[in-house]
Amino acid sequence: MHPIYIITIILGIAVLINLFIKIKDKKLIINELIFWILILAALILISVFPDFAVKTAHFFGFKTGFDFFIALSILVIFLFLYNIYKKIRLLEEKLTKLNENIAIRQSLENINKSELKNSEEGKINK
Amino acid sequence: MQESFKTYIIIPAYNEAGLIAKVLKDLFNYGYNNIVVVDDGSTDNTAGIVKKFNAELVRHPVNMGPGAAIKTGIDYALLKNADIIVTFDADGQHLAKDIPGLIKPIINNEAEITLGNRFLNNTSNVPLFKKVILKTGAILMFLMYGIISSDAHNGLKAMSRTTAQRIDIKSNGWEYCSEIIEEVRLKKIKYLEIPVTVKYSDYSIKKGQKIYNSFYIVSKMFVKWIFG
Repeated sequence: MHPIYIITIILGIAVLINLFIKIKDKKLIINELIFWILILAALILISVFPDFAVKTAHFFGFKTGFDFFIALSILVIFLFLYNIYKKIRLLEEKLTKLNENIAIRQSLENINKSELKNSEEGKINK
Repeated sequence: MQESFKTYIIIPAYNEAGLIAKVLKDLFNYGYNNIVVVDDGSTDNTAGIVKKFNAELVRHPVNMGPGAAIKTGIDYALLKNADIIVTFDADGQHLAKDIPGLIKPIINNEAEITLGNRFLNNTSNVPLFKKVILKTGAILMFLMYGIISSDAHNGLKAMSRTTAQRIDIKSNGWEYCSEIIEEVRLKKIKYLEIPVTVKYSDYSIKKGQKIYNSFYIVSKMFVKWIFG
């Protein structure tokens, strides 16, 4: 057996253990579960039927199954990165808005307080 | 004519205790009474100094960056029914005497926004490295947004109330200047570049944008340009 398939099997087992731990701790959400099942299925497919991986790789224009796997991984990482970027941007926008609202509200409150104080002082002086 | 327009001067400030008093004095001496200092979560005595003046103080609970401070200042000025909003740096680089030249085209309906440009006259002592960075930025700005402005990252700007309502600043950092240019192009806002003086001192150079920060700004602009 080619070393890459041994690595793939080890990776598959690692994913499986991770999945079990998360299910046990009830920390898994449905989207994450689907994602890991897909990864696991792909790993099993590659290790049990190496020819299938090679044929799929050839179909997409890659020389080996491993090249195809790496390219696919990079694509998935980019999608994750984009998703994280969008989420951070959205959070940053919300934080900015919150910061702004607090700042303006406090400033207006301070102005109102000082105006009230001035008018009360004016009444006392009269 | 100018008196009938309520002009608000927005000063974003972060740890500017060293020079903010001088900046405020300069503005008050020129008769500008509607001044808003947006203290962007300073850890020094910036807010304490501002309180001694008749300026309005808006304090960010945490430091968010100059873009966020400008946005807060603009929104605050709009709440206060400002007709014209001027953005002004807190590090003493800008001069109050340049403000009338910026707001005049807006009052005369010649422009909806005016952008201060330090390269249109020879009154600014721009250091060479700064000149190179700003000119490179101008080329990038043209390539990305199609707008020719040799000094897009000048903080001295003036805009009408309607323009301030239309411009949507989303960037918290220094790249907000590029974002304003992008908004000007996208929303077809009538703009004019006005010659202004930018005074460089040891303090402003120390406080201003660093070379490595310029690369960071460019990278953020680029990412925003791609991903939106």
